[in-house]
Amino acid sequence: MQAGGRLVVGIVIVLALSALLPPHLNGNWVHVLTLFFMMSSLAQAWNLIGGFTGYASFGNVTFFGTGAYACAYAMDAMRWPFWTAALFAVVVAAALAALLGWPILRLRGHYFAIATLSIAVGMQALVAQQEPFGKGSGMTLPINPNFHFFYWVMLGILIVSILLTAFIARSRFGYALVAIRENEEAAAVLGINAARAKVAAWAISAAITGAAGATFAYWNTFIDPPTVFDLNYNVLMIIMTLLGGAGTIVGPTIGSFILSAIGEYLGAQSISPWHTVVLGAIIVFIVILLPRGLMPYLTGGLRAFNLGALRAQLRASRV
Amino acid sequence: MSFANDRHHRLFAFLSGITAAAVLAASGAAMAPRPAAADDVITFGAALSATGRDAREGALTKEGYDFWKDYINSQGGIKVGGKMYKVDIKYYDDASDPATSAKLVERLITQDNVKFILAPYGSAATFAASAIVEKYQVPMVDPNGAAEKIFNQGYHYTFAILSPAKKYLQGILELGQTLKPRPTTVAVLAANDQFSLEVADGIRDYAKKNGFNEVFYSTYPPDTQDVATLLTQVKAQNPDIILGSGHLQDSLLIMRAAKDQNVQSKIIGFSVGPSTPDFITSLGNDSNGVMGGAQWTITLNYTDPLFGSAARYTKMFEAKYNHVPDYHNAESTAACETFQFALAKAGDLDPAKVRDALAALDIDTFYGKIKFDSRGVNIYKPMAVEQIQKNAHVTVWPAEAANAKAEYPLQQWGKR
Repeated sequence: MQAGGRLVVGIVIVLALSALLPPHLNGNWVHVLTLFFMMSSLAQAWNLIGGFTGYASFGNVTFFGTGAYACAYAMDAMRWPFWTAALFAVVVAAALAALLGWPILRLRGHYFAIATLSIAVGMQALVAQQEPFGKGSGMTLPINPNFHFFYWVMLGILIVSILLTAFIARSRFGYALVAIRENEEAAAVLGINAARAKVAAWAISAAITGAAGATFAYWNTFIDPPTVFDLNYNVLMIIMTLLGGAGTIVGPTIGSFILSAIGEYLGAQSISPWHTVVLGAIIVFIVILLPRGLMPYLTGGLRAFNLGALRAQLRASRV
Repeated sequence: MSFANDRHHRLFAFLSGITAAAVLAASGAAMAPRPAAADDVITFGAALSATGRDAREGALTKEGYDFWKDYINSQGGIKVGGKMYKVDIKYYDDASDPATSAKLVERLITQDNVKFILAPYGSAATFAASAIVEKYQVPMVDPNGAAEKIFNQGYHYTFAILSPAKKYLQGILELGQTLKPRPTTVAVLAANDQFSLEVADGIRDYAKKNGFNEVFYSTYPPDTQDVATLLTQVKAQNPDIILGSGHLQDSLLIMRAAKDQNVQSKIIGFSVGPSTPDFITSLGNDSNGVMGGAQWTITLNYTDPLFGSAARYTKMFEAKYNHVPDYHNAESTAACETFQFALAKAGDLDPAKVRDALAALDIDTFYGKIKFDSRGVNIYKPMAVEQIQKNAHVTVWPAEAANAKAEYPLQQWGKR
């Protein structure tokens, strides 16, 4: 097993063991970790379409919001229990991705990014006009005061998303995605049905994102369009994935851990607006110095730190 | 299984590094000094918007809270069960995001051991926070979250001292009924968020029942940067009254767009905006004649055991912050004062006892009388209408609190 594989196994074990933590933590740390699991799941999901397949989606938050609203509607209007509602949310989010992906995934590069961005913005506006979804007033869900429940559900989603990524990365399907990323025409020549593979990747990504959205809605007990279609979530998914290493198995979770830890530390200091500035500066710094993310250093140690290559890269990108 | 030995070591080192860091972080957090630990200080907690869309309203709220804190401490503190306590307020920035508000309120309660929560700014954030205080059974006094939906959840730990959203702009229509020539047509612009929609519903209900003709109603996205097309539609209807229900930024946008397109009505009023000092400084003379719903104004004649009267509160506040307190300031100070009376009444720092004291409270403050119904909503609270005249706020409604006659109809643009 390669170092990368051992890292994956190590992280999955650490995560699985963290299921034992809630009784020993206060509410604040349960909340912080639940949020970390959620953001990691979102980043892991983004990685499937953005990292493996190379399609930078600025619209994944659409599936977060869709999952949240589907779950809220099922629980509030149809009185379904959470598990049925969450399953419903997963199906709706994946179906929406398949439906949207069929035309949109024909676009590439900037065009795909802009198209997905407008879907996210448009979806928020659309939901905010629907009477059954409470328009801009949002929806309320039943209260579940057992917050450990949400910790475990989010953790479960994260572990499943990592295992799924690991499975895909070693599968024929995963190789097809990487081939599409590297050269879509060549992949097609090899007999890969690029359209189908891309749609499938986005649907799986949306399913995970929708599951996280559904759980978030139940956890927060109240959702409205700006909260669950918040583009900041989408930006964070991307930054976390790039920081950890796009197209790797656990890179997004590592990136999410680091960014969450920094944000938690800075955000907890004071009410001054400077913490957002500092966080922004750290992100800029990391992106410039770690263009391939952290994964190469975690698996290859300092050998991966090639000053000459970095200089060449910086020169090439005219930073 | 094949791996290079040095890689194995490196990985092991990495994992142990992570573990060590996590353990250090956890123990560091556990050993961090806790402000509430000092036994002669009562610490309140608040997650407020220091950044984001509601940053200005958040800052006004913080001024209101801080004013009370500094005043109380200068008077020696508050007396609870025969013992004097200084007060402190622990703040976090929720970046105008309700989910962050909820997270920070949970942090205040479980990490900082705060037992008394002062609510965030805005209905959505208050809604999110109310679920958290309910879970931990920690009382929260809410000066800024007016959406009634919050109080239909059956919660027992959230107490609102302000009037519900639907009353915000009814006063302008009540005033309108007394004016000659009587205005009859109304256009309503509402931000598509919980609070603003409830305000709009209140206006529309009242208008329908009292002989006003609603000629235009539209909602706009809460994060809008452009309302020009809406104003074009409003202009086409030529309404007597234009009412905007949203937040400060929205009211400024609507005013600028109305000026650009020379939209002229007899009355223009907003739920949030005109009462804030920023409204006058941003718009200058163009702000004259604009009306606003106000939870409180400086002319209200209430007496108060702590500050003496609304007038004395105003004077002290102005000396400290160099501007006349707006209703956000006043209601925020009043929220702290409400806690103070409840603490004194409970004679104990136990959150459950303070909660019961809040539920049974019936007091007079500079902000008005405060007594809560079973949902936790202040039953006494009237709304007032302010108008900006000669670049200053005057109260024009209700008649018994008015210190000026309403300027009506509104002057043409350029002559205000």
